[in-house]
Amino acid sequence: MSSPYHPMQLVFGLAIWAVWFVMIYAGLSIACEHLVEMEGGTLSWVNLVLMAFTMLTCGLLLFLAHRTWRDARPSWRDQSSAGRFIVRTAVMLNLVAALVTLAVGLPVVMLPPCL
Amino acid sequence: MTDHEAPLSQEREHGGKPLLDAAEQHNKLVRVWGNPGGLRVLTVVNHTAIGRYFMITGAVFFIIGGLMAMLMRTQLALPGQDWIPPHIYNQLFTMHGTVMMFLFAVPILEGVALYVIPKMIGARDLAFPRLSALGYYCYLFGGIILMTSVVLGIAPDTGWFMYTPLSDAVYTPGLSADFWLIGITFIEISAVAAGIELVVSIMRTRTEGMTLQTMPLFAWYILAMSLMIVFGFPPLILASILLELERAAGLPFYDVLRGGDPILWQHLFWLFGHPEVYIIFLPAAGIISTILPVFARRPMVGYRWVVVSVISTAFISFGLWVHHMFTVGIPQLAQAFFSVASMMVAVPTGIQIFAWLATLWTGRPVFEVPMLWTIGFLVIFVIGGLTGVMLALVPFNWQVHDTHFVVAHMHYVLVGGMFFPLVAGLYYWWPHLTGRMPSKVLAHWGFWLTFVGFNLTFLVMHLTGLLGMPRRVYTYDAGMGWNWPNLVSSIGGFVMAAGIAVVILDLVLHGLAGRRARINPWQADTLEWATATPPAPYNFVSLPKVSGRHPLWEQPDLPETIAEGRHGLTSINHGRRETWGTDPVSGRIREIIHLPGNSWWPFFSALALAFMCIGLLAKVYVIALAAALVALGLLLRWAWENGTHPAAAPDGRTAAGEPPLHSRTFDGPGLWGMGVTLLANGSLYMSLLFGWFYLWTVAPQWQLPEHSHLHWPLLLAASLLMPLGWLWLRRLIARLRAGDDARLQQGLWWLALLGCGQCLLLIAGWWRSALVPGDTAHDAVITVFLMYTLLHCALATVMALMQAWRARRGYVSRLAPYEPLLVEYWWGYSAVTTMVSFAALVLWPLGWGGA
Repeated sequence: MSSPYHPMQLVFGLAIWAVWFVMIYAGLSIACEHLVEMEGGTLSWVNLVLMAFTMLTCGLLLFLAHRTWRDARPSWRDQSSAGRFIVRTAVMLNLVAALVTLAVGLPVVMLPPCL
Repeated sequence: MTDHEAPLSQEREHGGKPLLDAAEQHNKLVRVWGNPGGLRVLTVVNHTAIGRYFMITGAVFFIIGGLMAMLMRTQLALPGQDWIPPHIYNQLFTMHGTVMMFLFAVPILEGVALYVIPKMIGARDLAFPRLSALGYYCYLFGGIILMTSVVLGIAPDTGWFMYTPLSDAVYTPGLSADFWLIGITFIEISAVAAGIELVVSIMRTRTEGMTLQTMPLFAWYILAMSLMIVFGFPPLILASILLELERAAGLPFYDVLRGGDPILWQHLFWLFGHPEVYIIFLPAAGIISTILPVFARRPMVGYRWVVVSVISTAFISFGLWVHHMFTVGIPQLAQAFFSVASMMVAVPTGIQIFAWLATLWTGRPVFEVPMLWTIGFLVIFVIGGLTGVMLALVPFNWQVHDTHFVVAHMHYVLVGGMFFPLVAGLYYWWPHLTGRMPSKVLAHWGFWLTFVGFNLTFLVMHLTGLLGMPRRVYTYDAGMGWNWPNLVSSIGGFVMAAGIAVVILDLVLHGLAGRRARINPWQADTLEWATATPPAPYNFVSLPKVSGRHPLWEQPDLPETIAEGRHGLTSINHGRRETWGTDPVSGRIREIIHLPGNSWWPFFSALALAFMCIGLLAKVYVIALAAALVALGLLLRWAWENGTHPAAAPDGRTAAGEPPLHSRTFDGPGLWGMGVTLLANGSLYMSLLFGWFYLWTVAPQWQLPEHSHLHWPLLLAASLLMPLGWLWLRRLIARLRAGDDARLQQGLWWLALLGCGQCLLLIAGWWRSALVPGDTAHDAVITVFLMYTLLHCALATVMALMQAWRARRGYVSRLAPYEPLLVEYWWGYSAVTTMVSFAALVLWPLGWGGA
């Protein structure tokens, strides 16, 4: 499954995005519901944690895209066109996932957490 | 593994002239694949027939839902009308939405997919034909149960998304909500069954050489839709079960006073409800991506971009559900996440639209009738998409929430995004279904009346909403400024209805007596047009090897060479229904999948399940329990006819040069089917976990007992025993892989015994925990967890017993080693969920303020 030519590569990136998405929503909801009275506007610790998590996830997805491409190159010529299709599509999907992560996470720098 | 030494048929030869006598071969194939007549038509499992049943039944429900809409538009045409009383009006809008979403849109698109997909990928049937038949009868009986409530005048009346607390037993006493909850859950079995069926069929039964890269785009769309059904429907199934348990048994999942939360219903409903929009849109877009290149006379532009868009849409659409809940009091930042995600999902859709436009731009378009509906789709859906982006903006959403603006947007998306492509597809495949051509004159009339009527109705309705008219009001005063837009909408509604009537008339009349269609009348590129029209039940005499995305453009003589038996898998004297089992990526042939034939089991199993639903509705639980046991017995008997059973494939020999039968290998469609089923099951379980943690952290009056009632030692023992059984089974299978079946039967009996012990431990743990599920949501959710775990352990035990018995009868052995793997999947899943449940119920509370 770790091979860049494995079809599961087509879903890894967006699956990571989905987990990130659920975690930021759940984390924010729990923080606002239970933990503390939020102060500090967009610089509250909740925003900072969410920002850091977003950047880490985005970085992971970009790395995944890079790694898929890098790992596929040595045996590129020996692969079938179906294998190459999987690699190219998976790289695109990982980039899509990184982009969507960045876009959805963007409001963290603009809005206070629990208003 | 298989006995290859005895070729069963002399049908396969090599050379240039026709290899088979076409009529004789057709007769032989029909003897094996044919559909019986008379009462035995209820035993038919063939995908062509089942796909047609789905489409015809869906069309009937569409007409019923449409008539309900006409009644509502008649009432709203003028102010102050009240000839439909409010309680009936409530039933009408609830049932219109319910029928259109659950009884029309999803099933009819599944019907199209069930009909087209096997032919398009060069298979003779779907991977699990009897499952399709079961799905159809569940859909039919569920629909009949639901419609009975309309006839009795007690139809559901709380809106198609059944918000709590309005739909609970306090505010909606009687049976109306129960009809919805039980009927829809029954119908959802059908949807999930079709989803599993289609995923496995697309992954494992494509013809030789059809790689992932050369698979028709329609198959990509259906694959995405099916996986979305697998993940998207279970949250609603769980929500409905919980609400029915609350209504019937008083378990307070949504009751604030007893620790529940009505917002949980909204989360679970929309976790299903928003992906549902894309579950409907994606196959419709798949129809467009199939039709448009054919009439543009060139391949689709940007195949890979479209695949990326489809996969992206499938994922991102699960991240939008809260945009239906912007007004319930969620923090702005959380709303912003969903707002941006809602805008982002428009990007992959936009990519597809540009790919379609580029295909038209660079092609040589021919404007046949299906193209009319395709262009209509593009216009309407783009408008619906744009108002969707408007609604993704939180402040605007607040302003127009629950107004006719939302109704107009929804219809632009659903009618534009689903109905127009569906009709395009019907016109496109009508010559295939019937062998006859529709009338161009009637088709043009039908299209223009529908197009103009639709826009009259719903374009104006945006304004009605912006003028402040709320949805779901049965009448309105004359002085509100809503008179003329409502009148225009109603006139438009009737024009549209006339258009749809013309379309139906055209399709029915010309389907029966239209001009005969020639072979491949649209000069299409995909394999379904290589069959006879209308198709024979076996689809293809021989299964071709393909090398590109457009087999009929690349090999125009395929229809003839296939019929002449020049391609693969022509043996039929063995009497088995067979199709290729191929590698999911490369399309390389792995095995021969032997398929089950016509059977009463699906019909009677669905009938027993219908009786169970009726028993639950009537609250005669003895009947419900008896029917459930009968259904279980029927399903087990059905599963008995498998592998080397005399009614399946007792003779495992295949023709020389052909691969083994799947039941003689360690792989096959059943294994994939079990895997996908467990994905759906896992989605339901994750929803239950979500409900537990949600109530624990967010419910306004969550109540914890002072001391935990749970008898953790017994539950711990139970959660350890299940993994032990799993490891034991894995050991047996490892031996089987090594060719040793000496102790298989004995090992399976021990496994069953272990399963019994596990069940007893769970029951004892439950008994000793002294839960009071009617008092608090806390105990109610724990009860559901225990029920879920016990059910899984009991089924695992029954499966082990059945395998042991089959091993005793010789149906499972080193020569037919396939089935224990399926059981292992179930045991593994049950072991993991049992342990996770223990962690969630016993360990989590220790660290989070529990007792």
